[in-house]
Amino acid sequence: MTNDLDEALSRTLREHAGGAGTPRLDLDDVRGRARRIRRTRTALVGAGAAAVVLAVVAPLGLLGGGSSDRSVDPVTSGTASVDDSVVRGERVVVDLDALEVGKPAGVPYELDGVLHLPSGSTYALLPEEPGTPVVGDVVPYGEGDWLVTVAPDGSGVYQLQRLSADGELLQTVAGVADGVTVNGSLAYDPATARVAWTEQSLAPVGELPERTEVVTANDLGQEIARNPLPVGVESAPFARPLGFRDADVVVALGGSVSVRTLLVAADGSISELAPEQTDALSPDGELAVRTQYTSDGSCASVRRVDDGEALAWSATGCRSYGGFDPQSRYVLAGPSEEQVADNGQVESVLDAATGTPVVEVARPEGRQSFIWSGVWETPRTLLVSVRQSASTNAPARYGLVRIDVTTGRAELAAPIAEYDATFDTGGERFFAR
Amino acid sequence: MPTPGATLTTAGRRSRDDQFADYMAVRQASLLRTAYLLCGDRHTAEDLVQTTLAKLYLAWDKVETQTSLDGYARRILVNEHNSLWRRAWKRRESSTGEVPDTEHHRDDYDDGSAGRLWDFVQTLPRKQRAVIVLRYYESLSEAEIATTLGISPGTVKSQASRALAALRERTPSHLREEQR
Repeated sequence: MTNDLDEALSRTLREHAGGAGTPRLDLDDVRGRARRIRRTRTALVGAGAAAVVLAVVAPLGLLGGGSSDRSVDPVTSGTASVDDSVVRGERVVVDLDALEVGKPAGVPYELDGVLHLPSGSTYALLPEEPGTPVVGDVVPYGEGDWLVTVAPDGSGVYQLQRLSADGELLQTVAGVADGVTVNGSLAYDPATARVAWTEQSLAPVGELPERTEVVTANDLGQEIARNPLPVGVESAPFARPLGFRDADVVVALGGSVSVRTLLVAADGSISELAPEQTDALSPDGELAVRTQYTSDGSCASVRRVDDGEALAWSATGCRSYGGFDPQSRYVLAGPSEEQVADNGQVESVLDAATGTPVVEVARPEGRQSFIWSGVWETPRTLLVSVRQSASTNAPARYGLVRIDVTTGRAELAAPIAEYDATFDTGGERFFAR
Repeated sequence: MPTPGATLTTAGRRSRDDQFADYMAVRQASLLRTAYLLCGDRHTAEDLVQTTLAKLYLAWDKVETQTSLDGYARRILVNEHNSLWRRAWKRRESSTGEVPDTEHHRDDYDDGSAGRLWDFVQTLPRKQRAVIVLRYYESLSEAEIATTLGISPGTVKSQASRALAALRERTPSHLREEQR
């Protein structure tokens, strides 16, 4: 017997496929895009998307790994444990129209192409395309400096720059002038202040890079190791540093078809940590967010790195996870359709070991609101980017909001950015890094 | 519309670009239609196809001898679509069970009640929607869909089941009957 819904679906899809219009691409269009992809070499996660532009992508890497604890707040920085008296299950309503202004953000953030450092200094990058993030990642470097991945043209071809605490460009560490591009993500170990990045040599369209390397620098900003990674054989190869496990660097290495997670030791020896993509690594290197395929579909889960054991709460349903706090106790969660570890929407803060909700991030009623790009400012405070408007078509306001998971309170971490037609793309304007 | 897998049969003497251009000329329209059904937006669909063809171009030397270039291209297309949300400058929207308030297309083949089906399909989660498009537009088998999406056949089945259940809830009563 014919299934009416099956038949209706087939007919409806065929009917509406015509809405696609007429193809207009020629070979030059495709080659141009291919050139950009080839040079970018960023992780677009295979799905990727992600890959992506770090920043874009970044979030993964960005959030991933130990790149979280970058606050200069002396009270909460470092590895000392903080007061853990959180109120489990607290519901925090993030309403830009009702929040008070708190202290300035303790981590760098980008707003409309300008990087704002915790010192109050700024570094203008002047993006070619308004509304596109140009900063991939920012981590402390050396004695008071910052290491930044930037792609001012929005192409995803990142260069690595060293900035002073005052936002002055001190040096381009690696970039096109050196014949290389870097991944937008940086790995940072808050315990040792080491930093790792990956470099790939530039190559003509259609050819693989001659070399891909992971570089490690110490707390003084001095390069201490440079180790080659296996050159990929796939198109759009990328190598994204995720974080550290002791002295070893964890790297996601792959291309448009497959990704695996490698452990690169200081002596250059390489071992496979997982035959799959790792979306985020906790700062202590013990927990990883990975995507798995289950009978319920594609679900992200938090697993122990050592044995791959899925923690109990991973069975609670399909959600997206990412963004561990600096002490590896909490992890962010969002809808399964998005990637929390990659600038996706944030719905809750969970206990990383049990999955117990710590804070539920709620939208105000009667408002159109998006809350995304969660980045940990300190072991107890989270920064999120918010776009809010009275309705879908009304002008939006943008905010960088701090959520304290111990008190369940929210406040503004930067002045509200009111509607600006130049920068209003329907997406984000604040990008905490 | 279902399309057979294309196999490249051009002479070895022809240039790489010529071969690719031939394939592109034949398959671009089909890819564009599938992309449009996946994303529901013409401009995004064109962007998806451009990226898909670019990645295929980059991998051309490795894949041109494959028996089903279409399958390879389709997999890139779907993966790229699934990746779109990761781009920070893209607008993010919450998945919702509500039907968007848009001008509804009225289909000619029924009493109009199924005209909203397209809108309903667009409210499905990304993965479920991909399964529906590949199954009911591309007419792929569960195994083929699993290969394309990189998931197990069981997951394909469960995703399709969920999608159909959701659609039945929202569609007119005469489409709700589950007839197996």
